Order: sequence, then C-alpha cells, then structure tokens
Amino acid sequence: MKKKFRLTSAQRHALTGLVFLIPFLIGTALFFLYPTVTSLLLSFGDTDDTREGIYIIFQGFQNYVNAFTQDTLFVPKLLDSVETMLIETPLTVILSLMIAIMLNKVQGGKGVFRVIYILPFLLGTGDVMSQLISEGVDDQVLSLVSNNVIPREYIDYLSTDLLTAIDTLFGIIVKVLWSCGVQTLLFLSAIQSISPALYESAYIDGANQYEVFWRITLPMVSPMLLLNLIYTVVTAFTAVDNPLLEYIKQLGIEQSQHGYAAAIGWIYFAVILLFVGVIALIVGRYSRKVKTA
Amino acid sequence: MKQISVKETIPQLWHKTRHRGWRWFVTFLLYMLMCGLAFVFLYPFLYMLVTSLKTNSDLNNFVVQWIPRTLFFKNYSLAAELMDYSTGLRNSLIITVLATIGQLISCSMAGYALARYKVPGGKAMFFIIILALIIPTQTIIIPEYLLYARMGWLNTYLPLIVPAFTGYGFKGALYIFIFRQFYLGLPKELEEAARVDGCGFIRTFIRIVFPVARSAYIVVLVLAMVWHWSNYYEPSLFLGNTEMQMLSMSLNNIKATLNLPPEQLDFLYQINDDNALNNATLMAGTLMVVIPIFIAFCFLQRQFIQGVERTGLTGE
Repeated sequence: MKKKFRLTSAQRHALTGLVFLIPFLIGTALFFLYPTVTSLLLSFGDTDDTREGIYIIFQGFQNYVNAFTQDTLFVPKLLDSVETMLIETPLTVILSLMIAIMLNKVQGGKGVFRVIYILPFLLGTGDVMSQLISEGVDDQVLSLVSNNVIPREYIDYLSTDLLTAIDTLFGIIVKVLWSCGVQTLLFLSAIQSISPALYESAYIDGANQYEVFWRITLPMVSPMLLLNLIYTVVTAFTAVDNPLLEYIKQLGIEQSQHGYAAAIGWIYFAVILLFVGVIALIVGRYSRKVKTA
Repeated sequence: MKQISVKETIPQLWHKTRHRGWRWFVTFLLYMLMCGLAFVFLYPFLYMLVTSLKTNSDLNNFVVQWIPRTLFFKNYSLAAELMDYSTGLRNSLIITVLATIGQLISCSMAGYALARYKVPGGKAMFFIIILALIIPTQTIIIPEYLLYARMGWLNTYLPLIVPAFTGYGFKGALYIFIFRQFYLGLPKELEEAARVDGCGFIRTFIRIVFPVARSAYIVVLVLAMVWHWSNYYEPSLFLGNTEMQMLSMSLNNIKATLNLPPEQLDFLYQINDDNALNNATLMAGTLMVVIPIFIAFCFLQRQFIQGVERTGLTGE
C-alpha cells in the first residue's frame, strides 16, 4: 500500500503563511533585491554602454572616491540635506507631540480640529507642495514683515536682519506644521491608548500636569516616538525639495552616469542609516529604561 | 472631618484644587492657540482659492489681499487647457486607483501572514521590510529605471502599478508594517473559533478578519491614495511622454509656459487677451490638482481619523 503524503500541522501552518506571502516574495525578488543588489554592484563601476542589458565594468572604489574628491557639487548638497533634516526632525516630532496632546485635551469641536489639522497632508509631498513653498506661502503665514501677526508699528524698532531671520524661522515652522499630519495622528493614537487609570492614580498622589507629562505621557508614547523619529528622518531625506533627489536624476538618467549616481545614492543611504541607528539606540535605551523602572 | 463624596471623580477633585478662573483662562488660551494653528493649516487652501480667482490687476494690487474685486474664473479654463487636464486626470485616476487596490491586497496579506504564521525566514522578511522602509528612492532608482527601460515599461502605467500588487510600489513597506502591527494587536481567538467551526483560511480571511480590520484598511487606503496622487519623483522619471502625464506632474506645463521667452509667446496672446496668464493661473492649476483627492478625502475623513485612533499602532 502506498503511504499517503502528509504534512505535519506545523508544516501546513507554515505553508498557509507562505501562500499569503507569495506576492510579497515575488516583489521582494524583483522590485527590491534585484534593484538593491544591482545598485550596489553598479556603484563600484559603471554600465557597459556598448552592450545590451546591464553589464557592469568594475572600477573598485573609484566612484566613492570621486564623490568626495572630484565632485564639487555633491558634498555641499549632502550637507545641505543633512542640515535640513537636523532642523526639521526635532521640530516635527516636538510640534506633532504638542499638537496631539492639545487635540486630546480639547473637548468642544474636536472633530473639526482633527480634520483641519490633517488637511495639509492632502497637499502631498510632490509638486503642489514645492510650488507653494517656492512661492513663499509658508513664509507668508506668520510673516512679521507682511503684518499678518503683529502690526507693523510694534516691530519697527527691530532691525531688518532680525526680522528676516524670524520670518525664516517661522517659515520653517510652518513648513514643518504642514508636513507633520501623519506624525500627529500616530501620536494621538498612542496617547489615546494610555489607560486613564494611570493618570488618575498620578493625580491622587499629587502630581501636577508637568510631572504627569514627563512621567506618564512621554514614557508611554516612547515606542511611537521611535517610529515617528525614524519615519520623519526618512521622509525628510526624501522630501520633494531635497537637492540630492534632483541631482541623482540628473546624473543617472539625463547624463547616463549610472555607476556614479548609484554610488552617491549609497553614500546617502549610509548617512541615513547612521542617523536612524543613533536615534534607535538612544530612544530604544530610553524606553527600555522606562520599562524596567 | 470633611468627607469626600464618592461621586466626585478624580479629575474633578484635581480641578477643584485650582482656581476656577485660572482654568477658564487656560481653556481660553488653548482654544486661541488651536484656532491660530487651524489658520496656519487652512492657509495654503485659502491662498490657492483666493489667488486663483484674481485678475492680473488684483494680483499686483497690494490692497487686494483676501477678496478679489471681481471673481475671475477664466484662470481655471486657461489652466485646464495648459495642463491638458482631462488626460492628466485620467492617468492619475487609473494609476492611483489600481496602485492603491494593489497595495491594499498585497500589503494586508503580507502583514497578516507575518503577524499570524510562523513562516520560515519570517524574521528575515521583517528585516527586509524595515530595510525597504529606510532605503531612500534615490539609492535604487537607477537600476529600477534601467530594468523598466529594458522591459519596455517606460511610458506605460506598469512601473507604478505592478510593484504595488507585490507589496512594494510607493511606500509599500510602510503599509506592510502598519498591517503587521495591527494584526499583532488583534486577538487570535476570533480566527481560531472560525477554524474550529470548519472555515478554511481564505474564507476566514474574507469573512472574519477583513470586517474586523476595516479601520486599518481605511487608514492604509487614505494614505496610499493621497501619496500615489501626489507622487512626483517616480512618475516624472517613468512617464516622460506627455500623453502619460499624471496630474501631479502637469503643473510643470503651466510653469514652462510662464517661463517661455517672450518671442515664443505668440500663440499665447491669442488665448491671453487680457493678460490672464500669471501666477493666478498657476494657483488655479494647483487647486485643480488637489481638488479630486480633496473630494475623496471628504468622504473618508471621519473613518480615517477614527481608524488611526483605533488601529492602535503602538510601534512596538
């Protein structure tokens, strides 16, 4: 008698899971591993333009060396995008946490506020947003110079340099506010999942609002803090006004320097990985400390 | 000795310790701040609307800041003509709808499997998702472009739609992550009960899991919809042909016309009888790009915001 082929229950379980993962696995091979590996190989050489398809002529670390020694445009652009990220990430996270806390406090008209606060998200991250930014709409909103917030006569004694500096700062804040909708919603969901019993017991023990924030709200949202920080760093590095996006497109596709463009992409990725790693280390340690305490 | 009434809840007790006038003042300040912020968030839309209705003389008149003296609707027809609005709208709709559906199906399946099943290599797959989340578009765009060029996919919808059906595409890894977190937080008992009653896994997924997970699906639906609609970098690389342009790219047509050297403007003078082509046209175009997604969002906003609050993405 032929023995029937049977799977153990654990094998069947794993097989069912794999069925769900089929599209993802195909995608991983085609649209993730293939471009990533090719890009990495490409960064150590250049494409052979005399042959059909992608053939790579290897040149060692030449592209990487060139990026730092030959190219006068790359390093300033890289520093520029790192600087933008360093300014915008802390601002985004702090402002979105503050807004989430306020949204959580407000009772009357909370639905209206929530919808309004998410609206700039619809402007997206593409050309519409960059058009508005290039017209200086972000600077206008809180601009001192154009009289929107404080009447002119009260600020006339300030020097113009100072005024412009403040306007630029307000411009950055407005830009950050427009792009922090997703982060705000994530924080809001984290804050709402905190048990009210924690707050009640803290208030019984005589804690004030300030202590409650540092001892309860912040530790409880710290896992979300990590996700938000990483998300913000990554989006800041791929934002539409990022100078390197345009530069890589120019080099790699318009000028066909495929290998060099790929190398720049990988240097860029290394920088991102560095920042994400540092953040994950710091916030991870903080939330572990909170958990054990 | 003074007795504390049991009926008084704790927050009330706390509030009693503060002066009532002070509390009113704080609430008032909070609302002032919230309204101020609401203005900041509404400003881009107000700016687009107001500017798009201005005539040329209103644009250059500093007295006219908020209310145009005449409502000049010609800006819209001019913008639509320059942008080739109907073509852009058709392309944007096709790409957004198909890519969003693709990501909803594939990302939810992957997220579900990673959360529920002990799959060989599951940890490695999760690592790949995190990596895909962090690797910027810039790094892998060159081989992608070369791959699509070799397959003859350039200037078709395929490079933007096919990856979406495999869980990749624009920000696909983020959606897999969201679904995985959601399903990790969902109690297993529901599905186990269904299985005990003799329900197969596909039927369990459709009948039991999907209805419960509706809020997570709506969150991803809205995010994917908005991001695909406004995506600019990839379409601008893969869809060079004017016939294939998405709306998010077509603003460039207006900008290009605005920046034309004067000697090439002959054809414009014919449509441009009262000097209408200006920044107002550009803003009319911008508003027309945003409007379709705005309308879609209006239908989904309540469920979206509730969904985010309920999804319980704790990020752990």
